[in-house]
Amino acid sequence: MGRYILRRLAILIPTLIGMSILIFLMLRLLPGDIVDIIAGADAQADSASRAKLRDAMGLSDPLYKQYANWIWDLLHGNPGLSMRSGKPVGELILKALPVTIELALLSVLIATIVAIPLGVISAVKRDTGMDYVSRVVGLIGLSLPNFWLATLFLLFTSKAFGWVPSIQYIPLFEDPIGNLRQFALPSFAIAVQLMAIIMRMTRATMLEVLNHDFVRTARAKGLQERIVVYRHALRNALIPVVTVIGFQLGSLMGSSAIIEVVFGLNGIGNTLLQAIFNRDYTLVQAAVLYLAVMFVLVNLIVDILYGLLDPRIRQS
Amino acid sequence: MSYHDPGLHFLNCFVRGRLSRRSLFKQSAGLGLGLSALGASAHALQAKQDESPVGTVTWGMDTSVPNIIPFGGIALSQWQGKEFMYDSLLAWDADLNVIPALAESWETPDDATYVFHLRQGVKFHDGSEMTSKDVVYSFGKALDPVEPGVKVPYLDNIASVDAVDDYTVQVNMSKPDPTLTGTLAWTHYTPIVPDGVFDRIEVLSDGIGTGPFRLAEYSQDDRIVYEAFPDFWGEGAPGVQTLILKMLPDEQQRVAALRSGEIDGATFSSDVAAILESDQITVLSGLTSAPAVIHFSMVNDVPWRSREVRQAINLVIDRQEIIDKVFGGNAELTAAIPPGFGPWPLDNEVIAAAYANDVERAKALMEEAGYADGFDVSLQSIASPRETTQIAEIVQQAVKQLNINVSVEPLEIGTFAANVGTGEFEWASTRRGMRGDPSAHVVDFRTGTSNNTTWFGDGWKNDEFDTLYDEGLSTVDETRRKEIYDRLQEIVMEEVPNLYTVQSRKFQAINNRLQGMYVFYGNTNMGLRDVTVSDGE
Repeated sequence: MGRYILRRLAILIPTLIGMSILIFLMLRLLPGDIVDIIAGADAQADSASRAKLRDAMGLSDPLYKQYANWIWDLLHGNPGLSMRSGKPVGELILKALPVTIELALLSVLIATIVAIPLGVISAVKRDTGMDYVSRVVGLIGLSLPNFWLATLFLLFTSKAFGWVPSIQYIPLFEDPIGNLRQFALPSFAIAVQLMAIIMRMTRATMLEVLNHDFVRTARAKGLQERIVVYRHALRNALIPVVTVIGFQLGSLMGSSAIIEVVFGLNGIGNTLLQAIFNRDYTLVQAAVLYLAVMFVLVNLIVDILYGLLDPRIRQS
Repeated sequence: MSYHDPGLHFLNCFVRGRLSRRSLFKQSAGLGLGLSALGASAHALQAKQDESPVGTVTWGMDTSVPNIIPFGGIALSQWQGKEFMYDSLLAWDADLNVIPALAESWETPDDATYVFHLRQGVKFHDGSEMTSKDVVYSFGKALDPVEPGVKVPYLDNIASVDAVDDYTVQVNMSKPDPTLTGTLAWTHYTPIVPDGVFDRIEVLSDGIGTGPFRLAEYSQDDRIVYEAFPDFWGEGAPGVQTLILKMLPDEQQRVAALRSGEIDGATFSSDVAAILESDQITVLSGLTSAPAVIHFSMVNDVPWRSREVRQAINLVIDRQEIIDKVFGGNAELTAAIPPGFGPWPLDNEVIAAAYANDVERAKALMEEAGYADGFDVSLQSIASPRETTQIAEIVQQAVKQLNINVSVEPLEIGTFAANVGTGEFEWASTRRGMRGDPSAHVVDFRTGTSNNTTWFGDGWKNDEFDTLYDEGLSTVDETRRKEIYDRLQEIVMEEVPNLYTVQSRKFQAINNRLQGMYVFYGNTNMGLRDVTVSDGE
């Protein structure tokens, strides 16, 4: 297992190098740079002063040189300063991180708690009314985009109760209850779609597993149906489900941008979005690299979880 | 409110504790005063009595503030993020009259010299006193902004700035320049900071000024928090203790946050503002400087180098359709200097006459120019917010009558800005911003200026314009200046080097607890400097 983890970590290096080149080039392929953004559409600054600023920011250097400078600094533990505010990008990302991580974990938690039992019931009571209801609900959940749901939630609670979650960030450890009140709605908005995905996955794999020989054997042994379902069948069915959850968790580290914008939360997604709009190259590069690392790490954790769920993987 | 006002009398009693809140309301009903008005007056009185700021105001910002550098920050959002902590030597009142600020008075011994007498006892947020040394330092930074500040041409004629004594500063111009006072009053490019501040703090995200609020927190893409500055030099301390600017780029979020009281106000599009009015929310509207314009690039040998073609286009664009369809009726016709900019804009009738539609004459002009069969052209616009694209689509439909085939290309703002800055467009639909002086609204038509070279090359030039423009910059007499800028605008309407259309009203919705807010013409939120809250929370 240790060697396996090491190998996975080693793969991270070429992945990151590739990523870094890609991010770097893609950003610079976008028309307009931060100087154009600073100078604005209103054309108040002349081209000479724009060129001067570009020189000062190192943007008139050839691309390979800009890239080399960035990597050199990065290897020396210096991911750079935000081109807009001069703040260290590491600091900005660290500040946004708790918001995004909490949002991701909370929504996955809500989704999992609801979806796995629902999926199991749906599979066990296949083709009954219960099954149909949860399948239809799942389908609806799958079809509702989360930004639309989020906006709807907001407009509804503000109109009906004159209340929306606080727009000023409440740190979890300062005021846990206030924090949960703030995060409940956005997390739920994300969780709805996740719920549907996990529920459908659980149902499908459960159905498959329930047809396996060992389940019949377990039943033939005279085990209680509850034990058959939860200890024998579910445990085997969970592997693909855990994969899906892990994958979603990884992508949530960056894809909650729209929810963050809608709820006025300043997480990684929002930070990245604003940085892209403003062509804040250093911040975008650092944020995307961070996302790539997180994604790979989450997947690694998922792989380790496989081992815990299935001893065969652990031993091989 | 006069001294004999019975309302004032018992409000005073209330404030001094002689009346209970309940009997106040009872009496107020008898006097026919609205409760909210009463609350406001009571609060205003209270604030006047103890002079201490109370409560928190949270304002929803529709764009994020990239940084708050004191000098050379061009973006409007930069100024919106820092306007509360800075003052300039001069200021504007709500009607754009130039009034004294950090300079108590000023004189012009000759046309090229300005002597400013500084207010004494003005404190910076760090406690130090403002003197001429700070002013000289600030002008040094304003004339040559440190990156990422960008140099703008408005201060180019300042030759030197000298401290005469501790409270007198002399600004020497290289030639007579009547634009100086307006530019200083704008404050955007000339805030006064303490001597050496660039060596003491990170000026991108921190600041020290003389304004009514001092910076408490700058959190990028999230919020900026200001707290009242008790030693503010202006009359009456700031009315609120804490002012929070919260970035909420999503309009629906601003709607929800305003309705639930999470924010006290924000800017909204006209159609959203229309549904917001309620017993808790008031919608304010006012003109702001944002004239919509279609740029024609004439660097290359294009059909619209012909004046007849441009005039023909002008004759078929129905500005009223733009006013109605894009702005829901909430806009006015504009020439190069937008309505509301002091005494400088042309009369509405003059503009309306020049913009009257005449399709037959337009077709004749196209024929005369040899383009009866029209041509193909691309028209770039800003994708979000939608207004410039919607205007572009109306233009597209209108010029079809002249067989001109327009393809509208909505672009993300960064791309659009890059293209306009480098002249890489054929036509572009955009909106211009606030300026300190009328000359800056028409400068792009003067041969040899930066944008003129980029946009027009040798494709358009008007000698009368150039001569008059230069005269306008060296004329101090206001009456003559008005004549000059009237004529300059008429030339632009006759020659149509750019096609001006309309200027819209801006809408801000506020919670009724917020008192004293107004839509500021300069496109920022100046009113927040003086607001109070009626509930004191």
